[in-house]
Amino acid sequence: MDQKFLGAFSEILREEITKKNEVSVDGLGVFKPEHKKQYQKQFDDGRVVMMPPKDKITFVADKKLISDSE
Amino acid sequence: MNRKKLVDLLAEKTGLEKAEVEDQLVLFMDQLKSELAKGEDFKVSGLGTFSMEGDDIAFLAEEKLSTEVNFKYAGMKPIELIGAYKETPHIAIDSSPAKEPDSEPVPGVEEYTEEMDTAAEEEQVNITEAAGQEEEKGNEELPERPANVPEDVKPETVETPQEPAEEQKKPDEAAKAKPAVKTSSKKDFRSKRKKESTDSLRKLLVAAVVIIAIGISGWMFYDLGYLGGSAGNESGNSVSESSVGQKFSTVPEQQANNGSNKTAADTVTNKETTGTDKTSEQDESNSTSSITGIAEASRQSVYGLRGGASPRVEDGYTIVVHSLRDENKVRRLNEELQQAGYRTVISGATVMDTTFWRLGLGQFKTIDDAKKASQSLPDPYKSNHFIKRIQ
Repeated sequence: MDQKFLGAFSEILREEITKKNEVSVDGLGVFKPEHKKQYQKQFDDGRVVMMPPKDKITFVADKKLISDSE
Repeated sequence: MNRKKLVDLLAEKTGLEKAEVEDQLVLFMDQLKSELAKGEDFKVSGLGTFSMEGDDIAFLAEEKLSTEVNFKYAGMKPIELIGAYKETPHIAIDSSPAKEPDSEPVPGVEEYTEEMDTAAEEEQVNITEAAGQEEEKGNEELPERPANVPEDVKPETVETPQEPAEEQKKPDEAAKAKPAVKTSSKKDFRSKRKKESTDSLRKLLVAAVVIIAIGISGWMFYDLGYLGGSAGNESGNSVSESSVGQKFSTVPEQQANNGSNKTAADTVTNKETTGTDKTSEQDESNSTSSITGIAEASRQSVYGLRGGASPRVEDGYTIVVHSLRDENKVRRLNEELQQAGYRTVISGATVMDTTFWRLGLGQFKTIDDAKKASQSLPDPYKSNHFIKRIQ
């Protein structure tokens, strides 16, 4: 595989995800930035912390890719 | 963004043909499939890692990319909510934090545990704060103190050397003595707090008194004339102002003849004729008017279109007839105009980082005087000039 291609592929995906754009590639899957609001989290001992919000990058693999990978 | 747009962008970025890009993309996916089928992770540098998780493919973004995406929330840390309990309806209860995806170690949680564990101790420490360093001293003197005896033993309890032995022998008595010790330390603490607040109040009062005293003394010095400027004594005021030469107490006639050149003698005469009949007041008026007259004469000589420049005037106006970057040329023109009998003023002005040397004619008290005088200038100055304040 061409390293130049791989570098460009990685860069384009990064740019789009950073811009909060969804990237859907047939045969591969969907990369999607997902916002998670702040939330409270409590542990067994009663400690409660407020977790900050964050944007998480989710990937939903194409069904064909999953079936081929198994 | 879809596959077509991605291929277009990749072709643009790599310089490859679209068909080649498509081939490369297919090759990439094939390689990904084969790696995942082997059960291995597939890492794409700068993007993240693909891995099999059960029957699904998981993608973990690189830390750099995650940071870029979360730039808005940079520096935000989990905040401990002290006082929030499970009863709160919006709390998401995590019974097994290690199993949850978001149960990564939370910064500060460990500190929180320590705080929780030592909370009871801190309460005791707070109560015995008043005892201060003496408490430590007391602890040192009581190495064999029983475990059930609190650490906040009062200094007076420690002072008697026989007590530790007694406490050892009679732990029950020591335990009984405990509430009394706590109460007395609390009282000390309260009294100390009260004393501190009283001290701060006292300091504030002293500061307020000092400020008021300074204000009153300042008012007395400046308004009541302790520094020479008496507001209540009109004659004194007139003389002092005249002697300073800043403002002049001129009679209405003098104001009317503002532009004319009056001598001190004329002013004195005018003052005498308009003066009162009382001899003492007349004498005072004479002395005042003579000083006023001298100042007036001096003022009259300061202003005008012709004559020498006077550096004493700083609030007048002048008619600028030349504004040049060449200082030497301005100096030459200045000499010529001075020879012609004009009063000249040279000043520098920086406009857009360029210094212009301005040659002004005359010095005038008001802008109207300057305008009037500019009409008497010869051409081309009559039509080509501007008036500016002398600074």
